[in-house]
Amino acid sequence: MTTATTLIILGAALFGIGVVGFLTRRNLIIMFLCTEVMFQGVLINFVAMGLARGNLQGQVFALFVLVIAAVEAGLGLAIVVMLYRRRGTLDAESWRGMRG
Amino acid sequence: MAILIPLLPLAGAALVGLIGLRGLRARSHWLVILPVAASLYLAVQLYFQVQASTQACAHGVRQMFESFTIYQWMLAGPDSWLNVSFRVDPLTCVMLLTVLIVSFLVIIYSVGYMRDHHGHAERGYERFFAFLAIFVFSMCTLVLAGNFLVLYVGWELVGLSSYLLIGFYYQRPAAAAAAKKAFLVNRIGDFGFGLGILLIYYTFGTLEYANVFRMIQAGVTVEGVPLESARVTTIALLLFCGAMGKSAQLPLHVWLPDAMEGPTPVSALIHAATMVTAGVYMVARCHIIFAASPYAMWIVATIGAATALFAATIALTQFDMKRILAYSTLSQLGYMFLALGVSAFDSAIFHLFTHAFFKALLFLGAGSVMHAMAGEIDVRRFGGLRKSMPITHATFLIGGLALAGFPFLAGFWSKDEIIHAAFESDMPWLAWVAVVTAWLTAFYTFRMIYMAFYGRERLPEGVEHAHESGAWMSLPLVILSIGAIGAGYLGVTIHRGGFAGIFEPHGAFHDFLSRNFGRPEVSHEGGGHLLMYVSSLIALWGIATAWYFYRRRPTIPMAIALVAGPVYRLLYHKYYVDEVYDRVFVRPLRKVGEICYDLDRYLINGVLWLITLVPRGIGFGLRRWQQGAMQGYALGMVVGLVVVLWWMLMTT
Amino acid sequence: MLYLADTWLGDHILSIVIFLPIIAAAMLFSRTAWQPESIRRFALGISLLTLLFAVLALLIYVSDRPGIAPAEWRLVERSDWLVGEDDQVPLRIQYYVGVDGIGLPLLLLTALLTPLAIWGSFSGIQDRHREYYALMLLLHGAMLGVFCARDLLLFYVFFEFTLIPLYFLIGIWGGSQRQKAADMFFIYTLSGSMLTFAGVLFLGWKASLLPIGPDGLRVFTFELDRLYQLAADGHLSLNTQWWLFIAFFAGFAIKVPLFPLHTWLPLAHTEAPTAGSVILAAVLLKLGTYGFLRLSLPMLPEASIALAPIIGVLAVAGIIYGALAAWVQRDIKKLVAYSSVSHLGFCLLGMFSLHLAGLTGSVLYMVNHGLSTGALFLVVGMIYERYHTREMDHLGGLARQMPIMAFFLILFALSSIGLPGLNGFVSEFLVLLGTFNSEKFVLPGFKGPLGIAFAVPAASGILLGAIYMLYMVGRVLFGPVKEPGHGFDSSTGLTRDLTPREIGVLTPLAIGCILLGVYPKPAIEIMEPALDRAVLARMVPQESASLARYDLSDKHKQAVELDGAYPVDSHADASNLDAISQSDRQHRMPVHLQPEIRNPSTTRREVLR
Repeated sequence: MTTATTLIILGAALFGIGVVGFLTRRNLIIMFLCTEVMFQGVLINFVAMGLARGNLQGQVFALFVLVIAAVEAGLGLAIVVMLYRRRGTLDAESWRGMRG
Repeated sequence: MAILIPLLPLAGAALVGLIGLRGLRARSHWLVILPVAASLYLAVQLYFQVQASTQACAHGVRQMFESFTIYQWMLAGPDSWLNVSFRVDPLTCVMLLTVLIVSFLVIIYSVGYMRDHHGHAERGYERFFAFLAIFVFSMCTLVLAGNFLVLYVGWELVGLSSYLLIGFYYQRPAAAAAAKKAFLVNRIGDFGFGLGILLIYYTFGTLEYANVFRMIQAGVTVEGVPLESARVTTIALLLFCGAMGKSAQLPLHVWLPDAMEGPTPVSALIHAATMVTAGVYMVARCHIIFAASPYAMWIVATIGAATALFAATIALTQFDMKRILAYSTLSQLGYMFLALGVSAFDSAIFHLFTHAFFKALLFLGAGSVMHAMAGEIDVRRFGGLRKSMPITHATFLIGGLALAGFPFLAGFWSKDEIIHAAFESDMPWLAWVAVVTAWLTAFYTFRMIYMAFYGRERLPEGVEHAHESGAWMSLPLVILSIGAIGAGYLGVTIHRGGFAGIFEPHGAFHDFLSRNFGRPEVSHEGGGHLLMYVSSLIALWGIATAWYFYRRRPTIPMAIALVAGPVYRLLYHKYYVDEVYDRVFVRPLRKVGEICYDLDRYLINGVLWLITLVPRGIGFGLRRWQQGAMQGYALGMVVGLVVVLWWMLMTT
Repeated sequence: MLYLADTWLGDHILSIVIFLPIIAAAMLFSRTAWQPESIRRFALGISLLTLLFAVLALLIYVSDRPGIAPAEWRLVERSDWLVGEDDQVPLRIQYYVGVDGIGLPLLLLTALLTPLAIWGSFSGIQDRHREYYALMLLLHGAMLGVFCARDLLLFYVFFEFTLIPLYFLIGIWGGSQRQKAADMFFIYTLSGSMLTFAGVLFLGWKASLLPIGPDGLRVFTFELDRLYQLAADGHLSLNTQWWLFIAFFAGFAIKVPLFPLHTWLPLAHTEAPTAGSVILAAVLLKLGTYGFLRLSLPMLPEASIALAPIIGVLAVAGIIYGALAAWVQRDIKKLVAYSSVSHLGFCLLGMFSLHLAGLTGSVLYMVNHGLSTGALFLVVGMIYERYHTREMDHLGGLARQMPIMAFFLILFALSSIGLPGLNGFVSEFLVLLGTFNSEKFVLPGFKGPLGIAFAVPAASGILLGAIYMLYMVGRVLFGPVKEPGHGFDSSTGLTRDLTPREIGVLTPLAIGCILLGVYPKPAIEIMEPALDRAVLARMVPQESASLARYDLSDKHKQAVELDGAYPVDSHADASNLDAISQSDRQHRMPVHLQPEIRNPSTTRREVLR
């Protein structure tokens, strides 16, 4: 296995862990962290692809997304805090306002 | 110079609005009296100019007949503008003088009338004078107009001033309703009038009087196609619709009696002497159009005669002095249209001229009575005012005699001329209608005079003693009564050699107007002699009957009313025209309006609701899938992703 | 003013006018700490500044610059907005603005009315000042943009963008049924303009298939001038035009609103706050009529001519229906709202008469309706703020209580029913004149689509209009004084009669009504060349139009000779005739008989400008 393949498998694994975590846990913060894990999986994939193709675009893009993700993480956590203040719990089940 | 005549009163009105309402208040009338006086002076100057130029040379006449453009107003098509243009000719002069003289006197009278007995101005005093000034402006615009568009402008603006002035006592529901009715009935006429103007443009490509008239005389349209007579008749009848509305002819007469809700000077000025004659003026102005259509002339004459008789019969049974005078006005306007319909255009204008004096006089006299009786105007509630109100009595009597056609007073000359012209025309039976109406006129006029001024003095409750009106009011009465006596002498025509040569026929009035109407034979020639005696007798007979009924044997009228019960009730309720209109037009139309609104709410919105059912139903079906739990949605996404991935792998 | 035209200010005047309010709205929205007083002052100041710039634009527009024909779009600004390079057909959507004699009057109307509406809501709006005034400014900018846009997509963006602020204005500050009214307004108009959007895209796509335009290149663009060229060169079959017309119709007719698509209007008007009603009536409805005039007529001439009788019937029905429905209302605002339905019927009737007088009347009608109906809504709002009711049953005799208000109400009512001397008359008369004479406008291959049969029932509008307006005036102003039980509410600091601020709001409108009624010539002179060349010239076979013009004027002159002296002032410019080559004339046939020509290069010709 080349390094790139290893990295892609690693990325896919991270992504899968994230998905499973997101779907199974009900704590909002954990769910949020799971989305971050999915993010990182994708980023590793980018780097791996860049490596495979032999250029720097994948890494540049990963850095770019990383910055955005940092901002987004701050925003997301802030939202979670606000949600907690509203309901006093972190249970995702307590937010079902969109039920049809 | 001509343009100043309407603008001065307008400036007066604006000044009242700007400074009268704040500073001058009870002295605001000067802001109106002075401009109107100036306009009157200018109109007299204009008259002398026109007089000089008509006598000078043919060229002067031709130039005079062209309208002059003030400015360009609207764009009617490529490279052609509709202009604001004026035109000054003898007819304009006559109308201007009539309007301005009567306006001037009525405005002076109003200074006295619009105050209480202590000289305090009524509420809205300034507003009243501003409205009067707007009226003078509008009426001058109307008569000075050089094309149909400006005529229409003046036409609508006098309607507006009439609306404002009838509704002057706007807190009285009756006054507010009468104002609205006047405006709306006039608008019905204007609907036809407006269409007539559009059709004129459609046919002739211009709205300037001179151009239209020349093309009609040449019998061509703007495309150079020969003019069909049906087209001319349509135009004439549509224009006449406007005249019926403004001059309150059958069947659009209903607004005028109600218009008496306005202050009495307004009734005198607008609803008797000047504005209501605008229809007569318009038909006379467009006599070339009407003359080109015998059918239209027949309609004009018939409607005129019918209105004359119809209104006179109603006047027999009324008790409100102003309403009697209003129906009398209708009747006299009917005479004028009769004259127009039999091509005696100058006679119609002559009657318009004399009528303005004596009818304004009668109304102002009635106003004087009303002022003294604290607003009471029902002749059953008072009587015998002869002693206590000598000036009013004397002038009112002169006015009444002139209206009744008493020999040698103003109405006598002009009315005889009309009857004579009708006999000479091809519709002599209309003349008989006019003769009967003349008798009725004399009768109802003196019925009113006997009831109000003669017999034992009776006063309505709350009035201690009747008193003569002050100088502001008496002076115009006296001046107008001079007019009511003398105005007829300006145009003595048919009584050739009558009365030992005292009244030689000279026809100066008609000569002056002949620049407009040509010189019809009938005015100067013919056997008016016999007619003169007959009509004098008829007038005297009518007066004598009234004397017998209301002075000698006051029980007779009651007996007649009892015997002819249904007829009397029919007349007393004015032939139930208002009620019929209400049932036949107003209520159904309102019903249609309600149906429209219901259609909006139920049908159209119902259809919309049905349309919205489609997305609504789809949404209803899909809502089950919306659990509201975030993880459920995420699971859906993952499943979708897996499906897509699987499909992609399978296809490649 | 002329020297300004050559400065940076002169070059960007329209952008300043459009974006000044939008940027100010963004600024205002972020100023959370401001007191209501300063928010109001800021909003009013910005809108007045916009008005100032709009007037400046007018001055630059009218001061003739050498080398520019009178009907040319002026004050043009142009830059690329969304561009895509492609080997085949490059995408080129532009920020492209400019005004001509049709857009300019409406631009000025908008610029005049918005400050007045803002000023008028000083006492009516009691909460959420910042959001309210920011949304008003946003709306202002969007409306101004519509009248300037020269790129169809830009037009559409501004056109749709007006919905958003107004949705919130109605939904937040409206009456008791505001939610329903806002939803109905939004969905109704949006669903119509979705179809319009489809039409816009189709037109752009169609234009990208053909090398039209002076450069002979294929470009995916929404530039109006290029799109006009499509039909002019015969690339749109009558069938295509029909469908496109219906797509445009869906958006514009709802906006106008044309009977029977008007039912959103009374509700929206009644529930909107006063300023919302004013803007809605005065400007937003004009977006629909402007759309018809700017897009449907010149872009789809054949379909417009073919469908004009149907539009005419709907317009006449709307005139009568709206008037009758207005008459039976109890709510003053609803009455005025239905009167708008009636009036806009006149506007469309004049437009589709395709007669110069009718078209001029139609554009004047847009302006006049904006002035008088906007003013009526303001007055009604002033009554409402005092008595908290608009039911005529609860009001009466207010002329006694509020003489100044009575003066204004009567003035605007008279203007609305077309009393000569006030603005309504000029436009109404011109519309009727144009409709009446439409069928007389016959050229080879062209005949005016309307005629007497349309004008006569429409003229009944002058009667019906008087009926409902005077009914309202009589109920509210005349008769014995009647006030609702709780009487006059002085808690908002209003006086019994109008305050100086309210008089200041109404006076400019009153002056406008009188000026445009007495001397509309300057306005007409701005509109006429644009209508003639930007609309009419694209509708009728051009050389026959200009030839016929000379025929007509010759005929006119003959008639004049018959008449003697008749003032003929010549506006005709002879250069039109020379612009058309002889060969072109041979190519022209009556529009309806023209085959759809596939090879445009043979028929391409100079567009008359």
